Amino acid sequence: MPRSADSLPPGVRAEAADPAAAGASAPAAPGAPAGPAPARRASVGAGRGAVLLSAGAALLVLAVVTSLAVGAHQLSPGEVAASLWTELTGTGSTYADDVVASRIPRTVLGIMAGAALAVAGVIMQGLTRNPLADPGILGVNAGAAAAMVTGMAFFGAGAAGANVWLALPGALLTVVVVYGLSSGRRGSTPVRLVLAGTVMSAVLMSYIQAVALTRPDVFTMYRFWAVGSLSGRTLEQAQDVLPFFLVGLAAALATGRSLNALALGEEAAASLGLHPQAAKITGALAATLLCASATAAVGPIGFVGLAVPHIVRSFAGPDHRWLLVLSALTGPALLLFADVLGRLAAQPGELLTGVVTALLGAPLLILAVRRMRAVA
Amino acid sequence: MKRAPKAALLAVPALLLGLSGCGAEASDSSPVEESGTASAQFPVTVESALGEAVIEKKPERVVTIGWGSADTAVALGTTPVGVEEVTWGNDGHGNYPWVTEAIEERGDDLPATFTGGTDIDIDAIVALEPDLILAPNSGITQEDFDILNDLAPTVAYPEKAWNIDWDDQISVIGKALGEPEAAEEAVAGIKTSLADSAAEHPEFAGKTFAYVWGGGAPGSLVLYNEGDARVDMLTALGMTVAPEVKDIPSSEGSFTSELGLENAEKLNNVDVLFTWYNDEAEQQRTEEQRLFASIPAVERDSVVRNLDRQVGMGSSFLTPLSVPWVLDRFEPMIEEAVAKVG
Repeated sequence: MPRSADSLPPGVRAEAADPAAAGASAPAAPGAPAGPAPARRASVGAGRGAVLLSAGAALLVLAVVTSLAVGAHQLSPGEVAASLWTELTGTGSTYADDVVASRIPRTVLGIMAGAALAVAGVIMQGLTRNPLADPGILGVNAGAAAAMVTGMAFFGAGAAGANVWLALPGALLTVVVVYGLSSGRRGSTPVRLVLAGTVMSAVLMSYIQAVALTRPDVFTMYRFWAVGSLSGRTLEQAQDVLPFFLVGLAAALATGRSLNALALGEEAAASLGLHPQAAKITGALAATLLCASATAAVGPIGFVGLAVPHIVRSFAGPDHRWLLVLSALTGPALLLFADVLGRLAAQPGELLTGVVTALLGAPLLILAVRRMRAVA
Repeated sequence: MKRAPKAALLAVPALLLGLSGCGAEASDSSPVEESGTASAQFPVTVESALGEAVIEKKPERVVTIGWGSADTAVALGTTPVGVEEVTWGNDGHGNYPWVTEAIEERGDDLPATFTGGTDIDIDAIVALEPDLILAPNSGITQEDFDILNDLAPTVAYPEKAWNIDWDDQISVIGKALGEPEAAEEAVAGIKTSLADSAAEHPEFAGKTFAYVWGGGAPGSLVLYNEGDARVDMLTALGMTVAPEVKDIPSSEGSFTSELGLENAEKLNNVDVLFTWYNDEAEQQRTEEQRLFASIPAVERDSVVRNLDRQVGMGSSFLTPLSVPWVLDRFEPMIEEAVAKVG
């Protein structure tokens, strides 16, 4: 079975090290370019794919409806619908209108951030061939945060809306530096990428703490932003981030085939006509765009990017093209349900979305891992 | 995403209260005015939640930690040799302006300052050679207390960190300094000046209020409850906490409760909304949320918005020095908001 010479850290198993993957190539869904997909079991066929897609879409619709309709302030479905209509056609005046209106930015941000984090998680796990990779593994989130803190401390950035213009260059610069650090004579290897990312994250987080702790004014702003939450933010913030999110998502959804090839190991991927380095750079940039958008919009939210790819994989198998699409539907659903739970759990206060995400995601991740074992 | 650093950052909210020492030299303490009764008071034992302080003779080298204790020590005739550095709302001397002014009026040297907050500079306190450490309104831990109390008798809080009624704080400091009568007079003086102020403003009487902060968790408000000095001061001025606000349970171990903005209608019957902000950015983030803007008091602008940190701190604890200083500045703000209640 083809394997690159990459030595993986103990406990980290390359996807392709699975004997079942050797030589298996999967029939692609109709219309999709046929590429080799390492498969642990029969890959998703067209029928099964349609079922999974419908299920994912239904789950997301349910999450969106729940997010708009359920919260601390109880409203009947009729009231919610009426208020939504009022909001879409103008600006409402009743308290119910205000409540529903306040749930709109939460829901929109939840859809964006959930999709961004889950899809970025798929890419990072694929690129680094490390099932424990989360979107922040290349230092992207630390880079975004460091840039924002720098802006707050030295350039008087304070308005939350401008975050994306700081977060994005910070994230991009970090990923370029990490890639540079990890590149040897034959490009970068997953292990070196992860190490460089971890080192950069550590350095940047130290820098953030140093600035935040010596400048109480920065600390105040940073503290507010550093708790991942969908609430207390505005639709304008979602609009600021939307273009970057859409570009990142489009680029990310196009990486499925290269991720499948990379899963076989770089030499095998190269023999299939893929340029491994180019594929990795494209993937890393797409994930960076997504992470930076999510981080700028809602702050750091953990667990979605780590858990959702595994949860989806336990249903859809290892084909990255399916993983990407289904994660883009499942990620927002998880995040929105977590947010609704946070609204209800600590009445009359709220639990932060970032806290509930892990509480809700952990059992799902454990179930997913058990299912996978049963299948494998 | 990066969970560990986030946790680390969230674990240090008290950082706002103390950073970077400035290593001032300890100044010689001034001769203390021996009141005839003081020496007869000793030895004195003061109980607190963390242990008891046994004070053998009238203290001369007093060190204060936390809020408001330096004020009261000065007011009772003992200028501290060292105070925990004030980093939020401080003047140029790492202290509150009303304390600095009072010490300068007495002609004493200004106290040395040391880093406090969650990481108290114990070495700096040792160097000050204190014979009494006052921390009745502070967040010192049992560990801090055990070290400090070995160094000099230390007065901590009665039950919970940062929780002591303002008059109890003055009484306990009076007891430790051997000036119980002066402390009683100081408490009576504060009550009188607040009552006078209430009498001057009959329009304050019976107005309902809530005191909130929007800079905590996004989409939520922090509410200050009765027993917090901010609230006590306003009730002393004749106002009352809105009943719906009274019913909101306190968060675990604090004098505040949390209110998600989806429950903002609980503030519908608030005549005057009191709020403070760290800065304009925090104000903007809070006020641009539609559910905050929908609070009736906000709609009619009967809001006291405090961005002045010294006024903010001066109205967050009640001491013989802070009350007269802050009333002059705070009253006009309340007058303006009350006038809009209609």
